Amino acid sequence: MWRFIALFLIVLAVLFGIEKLNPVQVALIYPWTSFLAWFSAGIMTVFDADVISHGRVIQSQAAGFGVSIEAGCNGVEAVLILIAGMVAFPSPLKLKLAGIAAGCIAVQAANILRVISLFYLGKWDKEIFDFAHLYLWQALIMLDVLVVWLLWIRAVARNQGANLAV
Amino acid sequence: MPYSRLFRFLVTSVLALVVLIIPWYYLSPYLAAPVISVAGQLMDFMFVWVQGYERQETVGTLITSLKVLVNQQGRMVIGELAPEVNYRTFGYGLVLFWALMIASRPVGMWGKMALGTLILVPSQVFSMCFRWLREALLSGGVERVSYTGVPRWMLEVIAYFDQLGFLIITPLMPVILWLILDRAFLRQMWMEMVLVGAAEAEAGKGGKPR
Repeated sequence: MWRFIALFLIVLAVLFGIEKLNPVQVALIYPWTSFLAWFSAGIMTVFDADVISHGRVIQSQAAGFGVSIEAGCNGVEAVLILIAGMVAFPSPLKLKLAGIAAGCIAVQAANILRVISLFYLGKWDKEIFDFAHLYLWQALIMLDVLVVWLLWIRAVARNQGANLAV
Repeated sequence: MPYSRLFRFLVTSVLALVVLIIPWYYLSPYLAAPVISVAGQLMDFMFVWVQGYERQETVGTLITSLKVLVNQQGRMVIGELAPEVNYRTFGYGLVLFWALMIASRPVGMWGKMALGTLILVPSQVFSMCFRWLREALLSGGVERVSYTGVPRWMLEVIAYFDQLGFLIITPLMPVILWLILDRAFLRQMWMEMVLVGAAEAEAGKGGKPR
């Protein structure tokens, strides 16, 4: 357990450091965040034609209200935590790669739900938006990461059981 | 561990989180008091330009001797910098920790919840101190940096640890703490799934023609 936690923290610190490098921000994080805004707005336009996106901003054309997706809201840090948890845990490479691929999708799906819900909460009430944005959704996304990791741990354990029986 | 049990864990933790976050919000002025106090004293001890700190409910204000130029009705006046940080920004992890504990129900749950509440204080202090440092040293431009004597590389370190505290440590520490304080949860899940995997493999072998 302690070895895993130590390795996990080291991997996470390195990944986070790389993510914060300016070239990485420019080449990957900003484009990803803009894509996330575009994708979330695309989903919203299915039921709300009033929504547009430009850059990292999702905006209501009629109300003029908009939200900008910033660091911590693009799901990147949550994905890094998940990747570090999977890399640090002793498991076959194939399961690590499959877990990372599926886990990233699961975390980002929850994050899109967060972005969409926060947009409408912000349109409705600024105080509730702040509460949900700063506290509730932050904790919920972390919970999502934990549950995805636990599901992956189940798969790793099952695989180990199958190998022991052979 | 059957899926239903993990599903129950997820549902219970989400419900506990949603229910507990409201009383936490209103109780946070009390929870903020020790965190702001320790963080303020630590900053006072570490930096000569820190003159003290104040607390107003959940907001901690660092009193500094750092001078800033402020535009006041068209004329520039010199003011002293007093960065404010809200405890709640770094304190919500406590609710996540309580929710995980309630969902997994370890032996000695209440004692572990109280212990965890205390153990989380240093991580909240850490994040709060780095946010104060960022607000004091990085938000003010070149002239402030020139007389605090903080080298450029140190500013990069402060920016890194501020972001680490806000984006990683605050949400992650409660989960790590939960994993440590309820190791039986993960161990049990692991053992059950190893047995399931072994049983499935045995059944597969038995079913194949020899």
